[in-house]
Formats: sequence, C-alpha cells, structure tokens
Amino acid sequence: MRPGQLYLIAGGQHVALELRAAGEEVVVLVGERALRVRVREVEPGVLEAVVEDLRRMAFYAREEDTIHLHWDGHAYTVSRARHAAGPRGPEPEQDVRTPLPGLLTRVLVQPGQEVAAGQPLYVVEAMKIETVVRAPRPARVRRVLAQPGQQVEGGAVVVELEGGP
Amino acid sequence: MVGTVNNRPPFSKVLVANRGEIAVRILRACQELGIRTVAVYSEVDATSPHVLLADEAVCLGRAEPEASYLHVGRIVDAARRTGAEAVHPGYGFLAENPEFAQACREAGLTFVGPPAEVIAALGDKDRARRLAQVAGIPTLPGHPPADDDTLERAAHALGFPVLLKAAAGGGGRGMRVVRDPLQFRHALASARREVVSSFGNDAILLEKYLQDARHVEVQILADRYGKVVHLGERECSVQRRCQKIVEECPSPAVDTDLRARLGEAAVRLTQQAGYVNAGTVEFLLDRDGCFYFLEVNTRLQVEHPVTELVTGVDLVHAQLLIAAGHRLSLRQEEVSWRGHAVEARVYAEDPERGFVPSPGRILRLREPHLPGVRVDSGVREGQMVPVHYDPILAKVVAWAADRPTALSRLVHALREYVVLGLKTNLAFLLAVVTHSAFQAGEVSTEFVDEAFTSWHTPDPPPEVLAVAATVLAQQAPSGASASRAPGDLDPWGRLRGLRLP
Repeated sequence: MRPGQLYLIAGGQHVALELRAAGEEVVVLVGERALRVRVREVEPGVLEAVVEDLRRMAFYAREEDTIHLHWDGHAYTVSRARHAAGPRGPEPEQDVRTPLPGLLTRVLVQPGQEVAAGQPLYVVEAMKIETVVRAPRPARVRRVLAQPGQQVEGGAVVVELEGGP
Repeated sequence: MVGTVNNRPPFSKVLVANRGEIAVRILRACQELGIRTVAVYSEVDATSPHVLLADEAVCLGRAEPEASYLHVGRIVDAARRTGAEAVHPGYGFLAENPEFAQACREAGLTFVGPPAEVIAALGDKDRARRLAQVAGIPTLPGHPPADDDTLERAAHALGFPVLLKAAAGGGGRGMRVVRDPLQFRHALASARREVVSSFGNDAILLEKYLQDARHVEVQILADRYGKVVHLGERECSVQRRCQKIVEECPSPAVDTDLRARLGEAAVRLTQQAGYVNAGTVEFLLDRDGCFYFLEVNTRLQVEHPVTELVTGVDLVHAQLLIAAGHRLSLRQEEVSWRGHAVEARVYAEDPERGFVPSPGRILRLREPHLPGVRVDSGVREGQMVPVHYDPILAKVVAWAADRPTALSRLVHALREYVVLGLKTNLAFLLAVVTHSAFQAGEVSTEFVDEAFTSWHTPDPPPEVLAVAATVLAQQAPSGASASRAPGDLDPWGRLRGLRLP
C-alpha cells in the first residue's frame, strides 16, 4: 500500500483514494478528481468542512474503522477496507445473514432441501414486524442452525446453503 | 376548555402507560397542567427519555411487550402503588384494549380514553362498520371475520383487489392489499400471524379495495355529557404498505364544504356510539369527493400534532380535562384552521433492505430547531434503540401560513435532522416530500408503493468520501496503530498538519 493510499467501502462499493497533505489542506484523489479538503473539529463530533468551494457543517460519529457522516442533508456510512477490492470487485457473500436481531418465529426449510432463488427460508420478528429471509440463489440447505423461539443476532447464519452458481 | 393551565390541575398524578415519543409528549402535557407524572418502563428502557422525564418511574419487567407495556396487571399495580389517579395509554400497546380500560376502572383509576364498552364496540371493525351504516355513513362492500375458506370465497365474490384488515387493533398492522387471487391464502396467513402477535387475536375481515383513493381522517373531541366537536381532517395518504409516514392538515383535497360533511359524519357516528374523549374517524375519499367509512381509532393518533398546530387545540390537554369530567366549552363554530401543518415520521429502519427495523445505538443525535418546526422525539444520544418495539424515533412537524412554505420548512428540518449510528428512513422521507406529486398535493394511498419501487438510498458523493477519508486518516488502521512508533515510519504522519484531535 502506498503512503496516503486508503481503501474505503461506501454504499456497497469499494473505492480507492489517495491523500496528500498540502499545508492546511489535504488533497484527496477520488477517481479522476482531486478535491481540496479542509476540516476542523469545532466540538466533538461536529466538523467545519470545506471541500473545494463547498462549505458545510458536518456531523460524524466514529466506530473504529467506520465513520458515520452527516453531510449536506444526508447521513452516510463509510468504512475503511483493509485491502483493495479484487479485480472482480468484492467477493459475493456466500452465507445468508439475518438482516436484524429478533425472534426466529419460523424456519421454512429442512436440511437437504433444494431451494430456488427468492424462496423464503425463515422468518424473524422484530419490532412487531415480520421479516422473511429468502434464498439469494438456487441452492441446497446444508444445515439449520437455530430453532423457532430462539433470539437471533443481526448477521447470524440461521440456514446454511451449499451449491448454486 | 382549551387553555386551562392556570386552573387547578385535572388530576394530581397521572401514569403514562407507554414509551418513546408519545410517552414524552404526554408527560410534558401533564407537567404543563401541573400534574405529577409516573412513567413505566421495561428493563431495556431504564434510561430512555420518557423515564428520565417523569417524577417517578416504575420498572414493569423484561423487554418483551407481554412482560412490560402490554402487562395489564403490572401497569395497574404500578398506578395503585404510586397513587396515580389516572392512566394515559398513548397509542399502540394497550391504548385500544377494552380489558385494560376496564381493569383501570375496576382499580378506581381514570382511563384517559373512551369507556371500555365503546372501545370494544368500535375496536371490533365489523361492529364499527355496522354502526357507521346505521348512522347513514357509506361503507365499502366487505365480509366479516371468518375462516380462510369463507374469506377466500368472499374475496372472489367481491372481486379483486381486496383489503385484509385486522378485526381488532389498528395502525395498519396486518393490513394487506391483495390484487392477485393466487396470493390470497398466503397474504391471509401472513396477516393472521402479524395481528396475533400485535393484538392477540387473529380475526381478519375483508373489504373491497378502493383504488386511487385518499386516506382522510377526522379528529373529534367528545365530553362525558354528549357534546362532540370535530377539528377537521388530516390527510394521511402517504403510506408505505398501509403504514402512514407523512400526514398533513388540512387535506389538499378537502374544501370547506367537504370538511363540514366529513366532520358532520364523524360527529354523528361518535355521538351515536356514546364516544367520550379524543378519537379519530377514518375515511377513504375517492376522486369524486365521495367518502367511505374505514374505522374509528379510539385513542390519540400518532399524527395528532398537525391538527394541534392548525387548530391551536392541545389534544392531550383536552384528553386529560375531558377524562377529569370537564365540559367541552369549545363550540364547533369556534374551531378554525390557520395555515398548514405537515408531519413526517422518523423510523429506525433500513430502506436499503426492505425497510426492516434497524435497532442499534444512536451515536450522534442533533434534532432540528427551525422556525415553525416541532419535533416530538422519544430518543436521546447514546441510547440503544431496542429491537422489541415499534421503530418510531420521532416525528418532525412543520407549520407555516401556507402549504408550500410548510413543505419547505419540513424539507429543511429533515435535512438538518442528524441521527448517526443506526439506519433511518430520513433520506426516504426527503425523497417523498420533495416528489413532484406530493408537492402538488396529488397523491393517493398507492403513491409511495408505486412511485418509489426502485428508490435506493443516495450513494455518497465524492465530498463525503473525501471528508470521511480525511477523518479516518487521522489514525492508522486499527490493529496496526498500537504497535507502530510515531515518526517517519508512520505513513499518516504526513497528514499531521490537520487540526483534528
């Protein structure tokens, strides 16, 4: 990794940037563009930020390698990636992850079963709303790792799939 | 009866049987009237704003609603032990549960809402429909609750699309529009499961679905002595899957004449039902100005602030005074509507993943303070938003002398609303309220589901990447930073000129 090189993940995309200090400013190379950036923390979590000629008060919160940034009316989450994305971009997610923590109310498949893309696998209830977790691709169910009635964490694998493209 | 803060408080102490923004709203109203307050909470809510705001707070139990905010016995017991005279249920949870109203009455507590019998009669959607028919108010063709086979036959007889509705409860829970006959069974099963978890009763009724209609509802106030006044309508057509997300007062589709007719229908129905306290009669309004009865919500509505801002009537004050037996001194001809108000509901949900609830910790919170903007909020910075309850965080309500200015104020307020750490629908709300159809006031209940099918959260612009990179570059990647000595080896040393912590 070259000095000043930074890899970010934002909006599901991997982005490579380069930062160069230039006196009070930093020049950030994003794709074809070079942006002059000046930031000053006016109070914890509040930035005065000037990018080129655009001046905004920005709010941020940092969790290790992730920064949540409110800029010009919208909130964004940007994470630092350890490595550049491969030539084909990020590897597709193999496992089906539970999108949110909640109560596992129903498991709709059994080990060994073939499932089609989009077929419901299980149902999680959180905040009184049912969320159906579906198969992202045609596959076979290898294992079911939790039982109805259990609490499951966000990101947990409840149904393990194998095979598929 | 509208401004009585100088008078003797209607109650000495009130328990608020709710959480979040509505509990905060009611606690504040009590404090304004000089009433001492009791909050109740579940274990995960111990440091929530509503708990911190009240004079006393009683823990009900574990996080699960059944062990806390839905536990009639524990709430009544908390009211008794703290010496509360009245219980305000807010909306959701036990607000439309006649057993709860009855349990309060039996414990000698005043329930801030209609009598249990009226809640039961109007809460049963099928009975409410028949009451409306008796009152001469048009209803849509439908079928009362029945088993799956009967309902499926009835749906075919009515003709698709049809609407499935929970016979008990409200708030759009369990509501499904079924357009495809082949999807009917699946939708019915899913609706039954959803309502049984919300209301403990899986009865579903059927109604013909009216296409291209508006959802318009009328706010009423009724005292114990048979007097009912209406405070005009709210337009609630902006819904995502039958859940309201943006509401306004007045409706762009309602003129003075229609307002009078809607109001008169709402007053007639609630008067006949023996209604007491604040209530809302919901209607569907078609393109020709014909309206059809939908249901009565026997409680304070989420969207009540738009009516308050335009009429100047504080509905929670009114609820408390009516519950204490005060006469409604407000006369119908005194009710006037000034300017325009519009509300947007801020939810902890992830628009990128089908609007699934997005619980988590609020790392940074900055609510907007702008002219004409009211924020009813139930959260604070640093709070964990729990997974167990409705994901509403706050409501942003903008008022102005005219609709375009109110919308502009709302847009600016939503843009200045900073919630970091969890996903919210703020960007989606902005997309909705800046949409040309909404700006023109030309929306039906299908607007959101049709106009935003391919909507996705905005990608970060280069400026965001640049600022984020600059901040992230203040420290080496975690794991590497601790072991690395400062100095020339530090690839980030060259950025030291930055004035960041």
